[in-house]
Amino acid sequence: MEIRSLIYGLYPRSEKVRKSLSRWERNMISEREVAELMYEESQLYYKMCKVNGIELCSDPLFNWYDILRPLSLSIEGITLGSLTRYKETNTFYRMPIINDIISLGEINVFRSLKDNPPLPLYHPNDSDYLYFLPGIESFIKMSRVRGERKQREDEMANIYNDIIKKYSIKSLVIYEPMNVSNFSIYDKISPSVEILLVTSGKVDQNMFSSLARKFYSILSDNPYVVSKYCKIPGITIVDAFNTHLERDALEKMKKYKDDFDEIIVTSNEYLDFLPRIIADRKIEMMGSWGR
Amino acid sequence: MNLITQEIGSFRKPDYLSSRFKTLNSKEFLEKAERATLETIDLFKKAGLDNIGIGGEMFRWEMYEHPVRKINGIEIYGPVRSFDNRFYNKGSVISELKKKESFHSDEIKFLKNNVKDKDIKVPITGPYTLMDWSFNEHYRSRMDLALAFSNIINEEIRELKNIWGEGKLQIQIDEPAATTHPDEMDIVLESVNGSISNIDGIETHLHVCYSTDYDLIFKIIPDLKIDVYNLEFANRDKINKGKERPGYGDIKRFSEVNETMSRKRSLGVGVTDVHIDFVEPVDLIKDRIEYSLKYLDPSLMRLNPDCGLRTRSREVGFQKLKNMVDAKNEVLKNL
Repeated sequence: MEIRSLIYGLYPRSEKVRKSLSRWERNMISEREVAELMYEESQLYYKMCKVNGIELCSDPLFNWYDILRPLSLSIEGITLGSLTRYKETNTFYRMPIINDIISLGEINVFRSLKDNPPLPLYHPNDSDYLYFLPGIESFIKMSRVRGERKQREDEMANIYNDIIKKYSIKSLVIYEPMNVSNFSIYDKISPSVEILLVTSGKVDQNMFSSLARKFYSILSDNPYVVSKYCKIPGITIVDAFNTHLERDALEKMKKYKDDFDEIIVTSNEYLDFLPRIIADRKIEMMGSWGR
Repeated sequence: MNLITQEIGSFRKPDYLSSRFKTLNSKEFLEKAERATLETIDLFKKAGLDNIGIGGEMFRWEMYEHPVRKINGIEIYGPVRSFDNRFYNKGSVISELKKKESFHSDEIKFLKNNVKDKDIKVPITGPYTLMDWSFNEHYRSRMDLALAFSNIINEEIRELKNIWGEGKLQIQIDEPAATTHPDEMDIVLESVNGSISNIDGIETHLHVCYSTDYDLIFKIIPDLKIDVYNLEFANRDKINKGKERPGYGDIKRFSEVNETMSRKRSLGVGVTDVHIDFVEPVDLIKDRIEYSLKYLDPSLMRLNPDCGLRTRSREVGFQKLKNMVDAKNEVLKNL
């Protein structure tokens, strides 16, 4: 059985990035300078992933203040609400207030934002670059929505298609941090994109009923449930809420070897909830599993 | 008749302390922390507070790392994000917890020797919050870890009480995380009770703020060994004057629970919002107090800011406290 590892979502910032952003917040360095630093640090991150044998890593999103923020600020019709607890953690995000999802602003060129470091949204490094977006249903669930939720979901799907078009996206990680009742919204996303869907909580067959799309991968707590809806099943075996290193995980994965030719492993949450040094160690550990 | 006004905990540090807090040597630190405490107490007295807390927590940088650094068994690998570009050092529990040194004895010794004319109240970060804000690499369950913190806090409170000596000492257990996992209220109950059990001569307070569901706390009040609940309300209220106070609806529910118990609990009502610079006028605070008095007997009511005022300037913090006291005095005229 071949094992590949996926790193997705917000990655913990280095001390250099934290200090630079702090200086930027106090107008001590320019937006251009901070944008350049984000690019440089992103490239270092890709290098680290490569050296450690991580084949699938999305952008570290060092300039995202939370998992929804840059998108909220780039979509006309969405404003920022109050700081809100992210799930049951001690980390907070600004709740989007969705009035009307009208159109997407510029996201792939240098642009100043209020309440977030400047864009671009991503810092690609090569043609195989893996893009990241928060799950559509979670985005809506984590927002205060005026109007009909279903309609807002459909509008968000249109926005995602716009992003895919603007960046010519071929591969995309979508992370649904909230419990989702059904993933059929992704049938509305351009079929030309290979999607790796990372789920939260326990998955069951009902979540995929009426789904026409075949994902590239679905990463969940149970690869058996998701395997028929994707090319390569995945498992969320690394704990992003504990500094303990899962050195016994490889042993645990042996039970899948007779059932799957290939499996993708990842964390149960993006790694931003860990100190940077521990996240780096988890990358090293995950990379070693592939070898 | 009085409505006791009290501080909740932290207050903005003067620059001479905050700018060098982590780089001062121990002698310099003590000198500056003591000076800042006296200056802050002086401000509290000028504002007219009945209870001056611990003088604004001038000896502490923040509420998590301060105690955690004084416990063996915890490794701090680095900061994790709180929000935006704000971080806190989240510890990893890697072995059995053992108290290394007292968290707050220096503060209490100083207050004992320097404050004779005011009540004090010592805020201590609660066991559930310490557990919830730590990584657990060692204990079998979250309950076990919370109880380990609980034992250490119990030990700490005993030490503080010994230093304080005769007379009742007010201890406030700070549990901002108390209601973040609704299915863990049994852990909150057992760990908070454990932290204050079998200690004579203390009045126990519990401070919870920014909860999305106070009812989770209200349901366990009959079993909690807590005398006073200091809660945040102003942040969820509107800022214009009037009889309707949407932020204070939960007081009725607290009162209903109180009715079911023979030993009544008191409520510290947050009447000023610590997250905004807007200084609530006396009339607005008066409206909030009068609304609360519809459901609470004055003897069971105390008045406080929603939370610590550390994020406001000392000037704004002072004015908020002063307006709270002035509003109380206005209300008392009609009681």
